[in-house]
Amino acid sequence: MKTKQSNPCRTVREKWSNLAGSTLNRAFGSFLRKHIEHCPRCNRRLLNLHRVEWAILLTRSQPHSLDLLSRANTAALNMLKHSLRFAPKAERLREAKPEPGWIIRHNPALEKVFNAAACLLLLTLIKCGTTSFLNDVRQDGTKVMYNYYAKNLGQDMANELMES
Amino acid sequence: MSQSRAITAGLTLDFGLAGVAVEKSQVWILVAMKDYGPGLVHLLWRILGKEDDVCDAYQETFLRIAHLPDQQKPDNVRAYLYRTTTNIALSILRQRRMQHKVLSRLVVGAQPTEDRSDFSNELDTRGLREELRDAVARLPEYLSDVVVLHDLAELSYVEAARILGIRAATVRVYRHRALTLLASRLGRNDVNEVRI
Repeated sequence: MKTKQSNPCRTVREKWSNLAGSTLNRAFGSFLRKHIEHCPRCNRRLLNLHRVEWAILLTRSQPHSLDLLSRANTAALNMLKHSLRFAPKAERLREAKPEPGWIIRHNPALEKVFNAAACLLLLTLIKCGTTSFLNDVRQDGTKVMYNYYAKNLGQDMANELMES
Repeated sequence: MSQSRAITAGLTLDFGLAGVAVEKSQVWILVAMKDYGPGLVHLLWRILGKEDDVCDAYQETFLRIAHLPDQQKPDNVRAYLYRTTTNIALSILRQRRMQHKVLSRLVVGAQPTEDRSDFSNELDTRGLREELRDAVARLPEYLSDVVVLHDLAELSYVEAARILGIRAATVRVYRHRALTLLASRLGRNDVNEVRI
C-alpha cells in the first residue's frame, strides 16, 4: 500500500493562500525561505504573485483628473428625467469634486485632541505618583545590579561599571 | 413628466430655489449619486483607466437604475450600484480586449501597440496596469467580481460578500483562486524573467 508523501510545493501553495494580509509564522517562514531557494517553480510562482500585488497597487495609485467626478455626474444626469436633471441637488452634483476622507479632513483637529489627551494622561500619572514609583523601581534595579557585580567582580569593578 | 402632472399625482417635492418639481419616487437616485458616486468613479477608473470609458459606464449605471421595472428602489442601493458598475465596466473591458484582438489580427505582423520606448527603467508601470486589466477581463465572472470589489474598490471581505450575496469565507477562497490565475497569466505574458 502506498503511503501519502508530503509534497513541499503543495504545502507552500496551500499555506500561502492563508497568508494574505497576515504575518508569517517563524517556523513556516524559515521553511518557506529554504524551499524557495531550491525550488525554481515555487520561486517563480511567488514572484508572479508579487507581480500581481504590485500591479494592483499601481492600479490603485494611478491618479485621475480632478473634474472626473463632475464630468461623470453631468453625463449621468443628462440621461435622467427633466425634473431630476434640473433639481438643485443635481446642480451640486454637477460641480462635485472628490473629497478626502473624514480622518484626513479632520486630521489637524484630531491631532490637537490627541495631544491634549496625552498631556492630561501625563498630568494624571504625575498626580497619582506613578512616575515616582517608576523612579523607585529604577533605583532598586540599579542597586540589585550593583550588588550582583560587587559579588561576582569585586567592589572596584562594580563601582567602575555603574559609573560608566 | 411635466411639472403640473407631477403635482396632481401628489408625488412632488419642491426644492423651492429653482422652482422645479422633482418626482419624489426618484429623488433617491440623486441621493445615491451623491453618496456612492465618488466611490463608483474611483472603482471605474481603476478598472477601465480611461476617463471617457469611466463617464460612459457611470452614465450607463444610473440609466439602468433609473429604468428599473416599476421605478422601484432596490433594497440595497449600494450593492445594486456596485454590482451593476462592476458588470458594465468588465463588459467594456472585455469588449476593448476583443477589439484589440481583432485589430491586431487585421494588421499583418502587427507589433504590440503599447509604446514602451518611454519607459527606460525596468518597471513598466503602464504596461503592468494594462496587463492586469487584461487578465482580470479574462477571469471567470465570479472571480473577477471578487478581485474588482476587494482589490480595486478596496472593500472588505464582508462588504464584498454582502454585495455579491455570498459568504465572506467564499470571497476569500475566490480571491485566492483569482490571484493564482492572475499570477499565472501575468507570468506567462512576461517575456523577460521577473526580477525583484
